[in-house]
Amino acid sequence: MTAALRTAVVLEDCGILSSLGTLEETVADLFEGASAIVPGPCFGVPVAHAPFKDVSWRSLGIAAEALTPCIDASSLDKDTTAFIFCAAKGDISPLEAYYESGIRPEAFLPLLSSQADYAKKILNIAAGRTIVVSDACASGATGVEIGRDMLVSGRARSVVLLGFDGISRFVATGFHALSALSPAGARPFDASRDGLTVGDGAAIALLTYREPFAGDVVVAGAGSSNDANHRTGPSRTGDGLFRAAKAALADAALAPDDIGGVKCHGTATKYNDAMEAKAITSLFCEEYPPCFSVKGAIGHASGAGSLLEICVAAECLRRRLAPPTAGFETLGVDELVPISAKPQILRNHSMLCLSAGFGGINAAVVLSEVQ
Amino acid sequence: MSIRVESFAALLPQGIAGPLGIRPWDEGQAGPGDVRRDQVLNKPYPAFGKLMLADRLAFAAASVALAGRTIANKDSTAITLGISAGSLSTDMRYMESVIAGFPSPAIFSATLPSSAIADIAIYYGLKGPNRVVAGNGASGLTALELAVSLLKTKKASAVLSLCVYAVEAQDAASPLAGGAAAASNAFALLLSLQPGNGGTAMRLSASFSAVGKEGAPARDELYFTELIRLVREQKGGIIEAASCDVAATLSLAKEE
Repeated sequence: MTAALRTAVVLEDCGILSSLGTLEETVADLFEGASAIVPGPCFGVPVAHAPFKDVSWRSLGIAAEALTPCIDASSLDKDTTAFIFCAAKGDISPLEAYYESGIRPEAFLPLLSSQADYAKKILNIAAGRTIVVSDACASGATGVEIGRDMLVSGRARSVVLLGFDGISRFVATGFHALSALSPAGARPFDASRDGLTVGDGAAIALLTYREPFAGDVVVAGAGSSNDANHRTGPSRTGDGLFRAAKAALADAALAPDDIGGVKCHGTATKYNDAMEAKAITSLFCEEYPPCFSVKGAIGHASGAGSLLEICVAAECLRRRLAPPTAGFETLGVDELVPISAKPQILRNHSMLCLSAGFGGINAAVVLSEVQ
Repeated sequence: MSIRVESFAALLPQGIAGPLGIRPWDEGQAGPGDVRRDQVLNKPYPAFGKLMLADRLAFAAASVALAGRTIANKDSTAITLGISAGSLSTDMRYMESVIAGFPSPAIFSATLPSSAIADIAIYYGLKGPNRVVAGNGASGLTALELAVSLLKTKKASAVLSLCVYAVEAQDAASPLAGGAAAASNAFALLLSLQPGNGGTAMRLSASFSAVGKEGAPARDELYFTELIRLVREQKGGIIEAASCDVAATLSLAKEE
């Protein structure tokens, strides 16, 4: 299918910063089954968390600077480039510093628009416009879908995506108040899973629209939906995520059989993983490709996490392998979704990336490696 | 390609405008921030009074635009939202609860700019794609661009496109607000590609440039107030809208 593409949305370059390090470090460690989750307390909350490998990255400016070399922005044209900032809360430290110590914001305000402007300056990107996408924990995937639509419709020729969400007192106390956090660490799809683990995360990606070469990874399709079910909880049926995945496949003109693996949202909350297993089963009718979650290794980095995980999925696609799901031992969902503590061989050269967020938001992205 | 404007709503300092007419605020109501459930929805909805300001404004605008309407395909009805001030006031209320030692789970769940669409999607059963943009002053214009894109790409059969600005008076003077105005307003447009079953019978053609205009005024409310005035009065017209991020030509014409 992908060999016949004349023009496509090409993932030119990407980079991430996670609790396991850079993209290369993260992917290498994921395949070793490593986990960067550490015990609590986390900002006074008695829960495990996954802090950046280099804690200085928790500052938006330092993370943006560290990600700058990951893309080649030298040929970007201001009039045809869009910069898309994807975050749930981003770097909320100016809000905390003001309330805790009376320190007035200097570099940027807690508003996402201000964070985006600041990050764009640090990245020194020539982009005529900035779009700030905040679709909860699906922000990065929604950003990729918006970018893809802009490129295909000709509204942009290049799209730079930046995702950033740092662990903070704000986020840790909030998820703890919702009883969503695991005391010992996330165990996606495992029978003993007891909640998610907050993680730091940042990612950058450059998308263009051109004729792809063999070996290029392309954003073949994207789709999204809403559960219309609950403010913070996932639907019990998985219908919303199923519809988003189906829309992404339709956008990519691919059938479920064409999908070689699934990068799950896999937060390790009881209800997310149960919902996701139902959605995956509805899509593949038990003819499952290998499935995995990275959140048992690097935690859940909110809106930035979904962009970060798409970058990781692209690297896994190049290796034609799904990484082990750290924290997983015994399947704890009703459906026989093939999650494994060992690497699995992808059955094809396309990967479905699933994301979901508060407010019932679901987003799915299909990546394909051009043959 | 032109798009049918099925319905509209505006919550402004002067009152509430919708397909059923204009209703000024009651005596003692200061404006959109004081909107009551009975002014926008003729059924009980106990959650309304508990919604944070931005969520309340979005729900109110959606309810005025959707009043009495039957949506044919809810699975493919999308919601886009432009919310320039994001969830600033809600963030401040949540942080105050943290500092007080009792982090509020209810307020925390509303500290996402996308929170404002959750109640609308649930109450009205709208299961299509969502796009929430929280950028500079013309996020509503970008949300409208994304709504048009969803219709053109057939990713949605109808879109409820919302534009909300919510900064509580007590927060505007804070250094955290960076000079953001203390104001509350909300707009809604229900758009579709197909002929509907009555309604405003106006057609919208919209083109968006790849770049904005530096130094252009960036207040959504200017463009949306004018856009909704033309729809309400069923008058044709062209609006040239520009912000630092996007420029647009919005043309309205009466349906043939």
